[in-house]
Amino acid sequence: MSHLLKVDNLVVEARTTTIIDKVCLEVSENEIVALVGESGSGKSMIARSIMGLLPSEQLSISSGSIRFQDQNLLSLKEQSMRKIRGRSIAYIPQAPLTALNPMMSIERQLLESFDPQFHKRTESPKERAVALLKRVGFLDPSRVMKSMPYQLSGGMRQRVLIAISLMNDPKLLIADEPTTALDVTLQAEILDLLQDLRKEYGLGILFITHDLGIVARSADRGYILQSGKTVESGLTHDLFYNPEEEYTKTLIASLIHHPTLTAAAV
Amino acid sequence: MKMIIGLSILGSLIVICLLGSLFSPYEPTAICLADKNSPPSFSHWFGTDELGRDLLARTLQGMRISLSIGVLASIIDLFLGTLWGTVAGFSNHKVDSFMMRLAELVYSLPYVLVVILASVILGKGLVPLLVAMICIGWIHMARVIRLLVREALCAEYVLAAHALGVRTPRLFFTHIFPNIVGPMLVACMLSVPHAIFTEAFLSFLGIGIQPPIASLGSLIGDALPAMRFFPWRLIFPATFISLLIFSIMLLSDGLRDLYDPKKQLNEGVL
Amino acid sequence: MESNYRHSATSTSVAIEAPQKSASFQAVWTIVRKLAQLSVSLLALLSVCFVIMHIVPGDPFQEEQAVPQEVLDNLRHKYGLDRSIFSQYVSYLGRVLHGDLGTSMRYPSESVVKIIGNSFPVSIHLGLQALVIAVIFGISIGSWSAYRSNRSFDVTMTVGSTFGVSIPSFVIAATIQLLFSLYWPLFPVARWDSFSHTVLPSIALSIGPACAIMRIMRASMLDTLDKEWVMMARMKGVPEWRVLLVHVIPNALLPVLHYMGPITANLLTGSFVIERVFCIPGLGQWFVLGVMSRDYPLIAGLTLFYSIVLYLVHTVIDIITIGFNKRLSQNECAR
Repeated sequence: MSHLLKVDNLVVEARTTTIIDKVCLEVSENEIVALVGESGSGKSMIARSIMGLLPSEQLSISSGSIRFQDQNLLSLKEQSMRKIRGRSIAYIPQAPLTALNPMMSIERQLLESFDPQFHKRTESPKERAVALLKRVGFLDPSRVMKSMPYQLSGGMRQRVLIAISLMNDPKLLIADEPTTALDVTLQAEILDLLQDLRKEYGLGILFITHDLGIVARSADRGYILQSGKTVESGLTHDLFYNPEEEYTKTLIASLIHHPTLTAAAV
Repeated sequence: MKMIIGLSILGSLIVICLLGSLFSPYEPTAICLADKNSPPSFSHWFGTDELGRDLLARTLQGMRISLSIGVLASIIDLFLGTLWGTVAGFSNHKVDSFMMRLAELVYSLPYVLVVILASVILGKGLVPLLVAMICIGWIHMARVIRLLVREALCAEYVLAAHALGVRTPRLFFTHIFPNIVGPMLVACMLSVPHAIFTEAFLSFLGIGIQPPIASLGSLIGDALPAMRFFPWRLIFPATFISLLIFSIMLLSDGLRDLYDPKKQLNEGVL
Repeated sequence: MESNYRHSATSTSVAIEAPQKSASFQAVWTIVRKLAQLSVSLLALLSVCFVIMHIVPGDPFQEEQAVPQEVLDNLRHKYGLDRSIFSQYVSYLGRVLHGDLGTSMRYPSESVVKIIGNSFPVSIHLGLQALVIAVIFGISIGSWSAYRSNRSFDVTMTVGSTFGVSIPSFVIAATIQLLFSLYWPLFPVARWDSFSHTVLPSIALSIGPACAIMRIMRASMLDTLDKEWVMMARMKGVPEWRVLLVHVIPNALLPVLHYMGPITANLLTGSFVIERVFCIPGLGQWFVLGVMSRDYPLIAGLTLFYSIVLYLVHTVIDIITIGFNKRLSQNECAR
């Protein structure tokens, strides 16, 4: 399987501290890779680095490479990077409550991401948006299109964000803790949705989370991140049943009574 | 940073006007027609006005008056506003509504306008002006304080205290008051430049401080018709009142930044 | 497993149905309510104005000493100043509701309404011109300051705006007049006869509000630039100019809109001094004149007029922001 995304020895530094320390990870087509870590371990930072949108000017990528389909993203100019964002690589954010512009209708926000030059199909942007809204589970897509974000609940907004990310047929999805802000039943639904989408479109998904339960349920492979360093990596099964590092063992131990884990273990 | 600059400018201004007599041997109201409208010179550092009065002395007197009126009005407004605002904040919805509706009527009009109207009733001069400013200004204070009290009442530590059986409003004072004191003082400080501006505004129009007492506003007002030929009569009081208000604004801005943690995060990293 | 998420989508799609039905009806009802509040406030104001004016001892004729007592008495009788307060109040209200605000006591040939009619257009011209200047400069400089925050442009502008806000309007007006009319004869000194006459006064009046708008816009932009949806727009590959124009600036404009109320009040009171400095025959001059000479009908009439204008502006702003508040309220809730 060819690598969609290959991050090699990425180092991100703030003024005096190293936020990300020689992180390596790979994502291929048709697989869900989890990036696990506690708050502050730098997981979101990796996502932002891949997309080329580090939050502050004081952060910089000092060394390493990020290759997407054999192209080094770090060497690209901003213009070219913009042609990749939302098109080949799509991003699903963490906070559905604030990730949608409160002043714009859902329709406008969906259509905004549509890139006619990139998209090879013949359907109109509106048709595509409606089709995607149906795909993510809305029974009345046209009504959703006309709504404003404040009229939708958290779960609904997250689905809309997933639909937005799919507008241009991306190859790689970066899901930055998409279920953290939702309750457990919704979490399960969103995870199942992502699984289905991956099977249907052959997507590679980099799933960032702090919840090992989610990893057990949905991911094929996982990377454990601690303080900006990859502590351990491997197939999900191996991570849970043959953890090598202390940190991994600690994380799993705190999950002993997690129902999903026991279910996945069966 | 801002605070330091503001404080130093303000400090020097205060020192200058308190030590006024050291700088100028003349009385602010001493008329000497022979010297009228003379430009800045060794004997009159700021020149003289049309009645031969030394401008340095008059400017210093004006500063003293502006500063005292501004501070006095703000402090009294703070007390009155706290009284009204706390009562309104603690009362139930109906009483609170009524109290604030009363205040709304006056609040909707611009401060300066209402003070002018009040001056019409009370007359011209220093004391009527002060009374007018106080009568209108406390409403603004009351609004701010009521908001603060209401916000504090919703806080969880108040709920906890209530649950523990803390009943009397007096005990509430020991919980709520320390937490609002900061923003209260900042609001008070912010109202000082406003008060100084209002006094100067009214004196400029001729409604406020009456001659022979000098106010920075009235000095500028008097200088206006003659400024083509005697520009120094405008320049000195104008510079001083600008410096005065500017320094107090810097100071209160800096104070407000201290109380706003969000802004501090913005300046730093991550 | 496929049916799982479809189920929640069903239940949640019902939830969208509720609010949209009565939106326009609610809006109309709110407008009606606001207008009612407006009328009540105005009536109360008028009454308070009247009561206070007539409780105060002394009237416009008190200072005339060279006039014999009978003439004074006659004048008082003519203006009804010797009738009972209540009957004066009633007749005053009646006249106001018919559009008659009385005649100036000092200038008996001028009715207050006529005075307003003649001088309000001048003041409104001045005010609008100043407002346009203030808004254009304030918003553009504020946005750019925030976008390139903490660099040299931003620092200069922030310091400058602090000056602009603290220097009193009459000082600015006098200085501008001194520099640009008297020393460098670029513009006419005073009066209001041609377009070039309007330049300096408008600029002088606009500086305070411009600096205030600039500060608010800057703070608001900084706040909005940090928002999640701005980052999300960039993640979608939206070009930077569009991110700014569509996602950032419209949202950042809201606090500025809120501030329009105080700004109007500011422009109004500012007009008193600007019109005085530049000898402009506007409403402000008349107001100051009335105050100096205790000309009650003039003062009361002008105050009422000012109040109507201000309350109207506040009401319009309130109505506009209602729609916006609804959209924002659910966003910021900590769920």
